[in-house]
Amino acid sequence: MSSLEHTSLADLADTIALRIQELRSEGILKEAETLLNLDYTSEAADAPFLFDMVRGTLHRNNCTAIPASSKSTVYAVWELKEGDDQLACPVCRPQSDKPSHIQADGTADILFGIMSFLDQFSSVLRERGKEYRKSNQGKVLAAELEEILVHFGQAGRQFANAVHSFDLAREPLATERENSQPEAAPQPHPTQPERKPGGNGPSVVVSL
Amino acid sequence: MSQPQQDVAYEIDTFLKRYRASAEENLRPLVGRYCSSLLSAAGGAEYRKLIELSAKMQMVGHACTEIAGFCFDPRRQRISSLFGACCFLGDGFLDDYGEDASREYIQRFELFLTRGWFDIRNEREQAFYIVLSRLFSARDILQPMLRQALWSLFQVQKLDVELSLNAGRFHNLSRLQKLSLLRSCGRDRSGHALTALALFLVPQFPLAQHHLLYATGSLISYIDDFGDFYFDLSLKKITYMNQVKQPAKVLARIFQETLILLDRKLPPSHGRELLKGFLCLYFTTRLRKHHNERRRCDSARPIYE
Repeated sequence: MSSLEHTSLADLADTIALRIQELRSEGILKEAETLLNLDYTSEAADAPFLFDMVRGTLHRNNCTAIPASSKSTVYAVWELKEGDDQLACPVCRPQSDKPSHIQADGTADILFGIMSFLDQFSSVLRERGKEYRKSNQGKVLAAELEEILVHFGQAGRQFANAVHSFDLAREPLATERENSQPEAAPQPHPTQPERKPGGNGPSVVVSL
Repeated sequence: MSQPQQDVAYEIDTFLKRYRASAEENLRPLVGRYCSSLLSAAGGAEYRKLIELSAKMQMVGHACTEIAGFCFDPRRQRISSLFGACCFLGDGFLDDYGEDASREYIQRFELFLTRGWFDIRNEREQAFYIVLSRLFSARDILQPMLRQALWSLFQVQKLDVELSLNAGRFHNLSRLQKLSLLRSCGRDRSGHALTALALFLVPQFPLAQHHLLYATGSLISYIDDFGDFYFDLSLKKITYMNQVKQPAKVLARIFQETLILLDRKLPPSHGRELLKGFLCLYFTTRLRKHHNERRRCDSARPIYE
């Protein structure tokens, strides 16, 4: 990435970051809603292990040997890695005996994240959309979109016809249909080439 | 033990020159755009302090990155610069505007860390927010270890502010209890900060080495407080170093213990030598600062390279 690209991207990100805070100041975004939360207290309570940064000792979460003075220096650990056994507390002897359930963001969480983001910013996006639609650029875009949709309408009809003809012309599918539902034999399509005589033999008809 | 080998000292000096230039390159456009008054504040001294701190962060970051077996590339230099700027601007809100401002900053920063909202009131806050935004978007900020480091760093800052301002709930503590709390605060402040910096640079930093970096961070914190001994007293800010008896002796003991720990537990590497060399230089310059400051008690925090 060139430095120019980097600079402009960073500037854009700065502008967005500042604008988000302005929207909250203007009351458009609500303070009660959460944009970011770094408080890890509740998640850490479920972690299987705790690492004492001062003593360099790894404990099980419920270990009684964790010194009271280490309260502010323990970090929740979800899985043990190679070499971590050397840090193990001799009292609770932590081992990765069962798979840890790290609270990683799965696909569903990402989807929910996007949905919540859209939900949170929906009023802003709607307002921006209305404003943009009225602008010159918006009007030009609207005209172009309309044109695209008209073309898409024509192309869509052609595409539908093509799909329709393709579907009926597919011999194996038709054959299977015939075999499974002999009473509902398909009617030949006007554009469909005639089937070769020979009953259930493999199809040689491929028309796209 | 407090003198690094000559070749390491020379190498660190060369790196620090390079990292001042790198901090300048990474931060000047940002500061110029979002807080231009900082460039000329106190005749440019404020900006120089920012650059010094960012260069120092890069130096420590360089050592940590090499210890983990990675290269301290331009991206990591930029992240370290931002981290330094973030510490400089954040500490300014805590130190420079009085008790009420410190308490208010803590409340506002808590809102930012738990909800993401930050009410920007002036240029300096704008720059601080932009630095945070850029830093937070440099890595996966919700990675559990990094998230915990940042949250713990905030918790200790909060306690530190209450304690150093001698808030009501600390009045009834015995001297020994207060000292113990101050000691923990000093230990954890830069312990969590260095953990966060290391994770911004190398997200997969091994657990065993975190413990050693934590001890290094704690030492840096005590060295800092020893250097600022008289300055903090003039602000009526209490720290472990300005409350403990014979602080020079205590600091020398912590320094020696930490260096022995690094020697014993860290595998030999160029990164380890850089880290030890940096700690030695930092220790000696702050000892000098402490002695120089004994007679000087104005309100401006001096710049020490």
